[in-house]
Amino acid sequence: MAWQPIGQFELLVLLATMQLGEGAYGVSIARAIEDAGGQPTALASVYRALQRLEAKGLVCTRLGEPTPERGGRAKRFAEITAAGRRQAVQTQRALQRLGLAHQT
Amino acid sequence: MRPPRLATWLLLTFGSGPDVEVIAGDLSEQYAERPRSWYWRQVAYAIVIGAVQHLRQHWALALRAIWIGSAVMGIASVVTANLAYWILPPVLPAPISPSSFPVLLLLLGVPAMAAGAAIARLHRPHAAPFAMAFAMIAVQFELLPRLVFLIRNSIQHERFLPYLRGYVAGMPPVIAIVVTGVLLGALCGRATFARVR
Repeated sequence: MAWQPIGQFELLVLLATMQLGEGAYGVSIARAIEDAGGQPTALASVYRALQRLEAKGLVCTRLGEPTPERGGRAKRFAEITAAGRRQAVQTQRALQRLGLAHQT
Repeated sequence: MRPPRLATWLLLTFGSGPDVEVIAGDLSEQYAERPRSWYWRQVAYAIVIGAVQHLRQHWALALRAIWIGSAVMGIASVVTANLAYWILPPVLPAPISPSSFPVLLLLLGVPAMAAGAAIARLHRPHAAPFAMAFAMIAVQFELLPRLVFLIRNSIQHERFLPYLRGYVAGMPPVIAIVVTGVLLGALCGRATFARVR
């Protein structure tokens, strides 16, 4: 799949999903982004970004089992795809190159 | 600890998109560790973000809904304005002051409810985001022309300033009546449609 530009927040969600592995879901992704950047994150923004990333084939999501502590509601787990992994690496490289170009 | 029921109800009723239930679950899970204000903030974000996303995806239908809502609200306003002179004089001393709450309820609340119900009935899967968008436009339509007029006049003549202050002070009830009316109407319209089906 060709490299496609993604937004800054989408990249953060993609990287957090990659870091968290199989257990990534809305709360854990939002917390990972908050821990990394210190900015409070809206859960709805995380799910919106996941929808966009899924449409681009960079992550896949599935619904888990409903649990009582969630009021009988299911979690939506996210997992990065091979294309998503490539995209994250390529975007990071592009950002690094641009950063170095800016410094010189 | 149980999360605020009103906030959860608002999210499940006015939230749109495929992840509303999942977000409600995430919020319930996190509620014990976070302040109450965090819960309300997340609910507000979820409703607004879901509505904006929905409106961007279905903008043509949204324009139609706003057009239909405006037409219904216009017709209902004429009908209620005429009815007000039949119904209200026995209750209120004449002349009827447009700033009194029962008059505002009848002249703004009833047309707003009719518009919300029409939008919800004709756009059932999109009822909440379309009704919210219409409420925002209806509020501006009701308030902005006179507000602009008074601001322009107040800049030119100081004697208009008290009118402007009075008008601004009266804006919150108007906003509350229009927004609540449209959303209540949308809820009624959606419920009626579901029963008919």
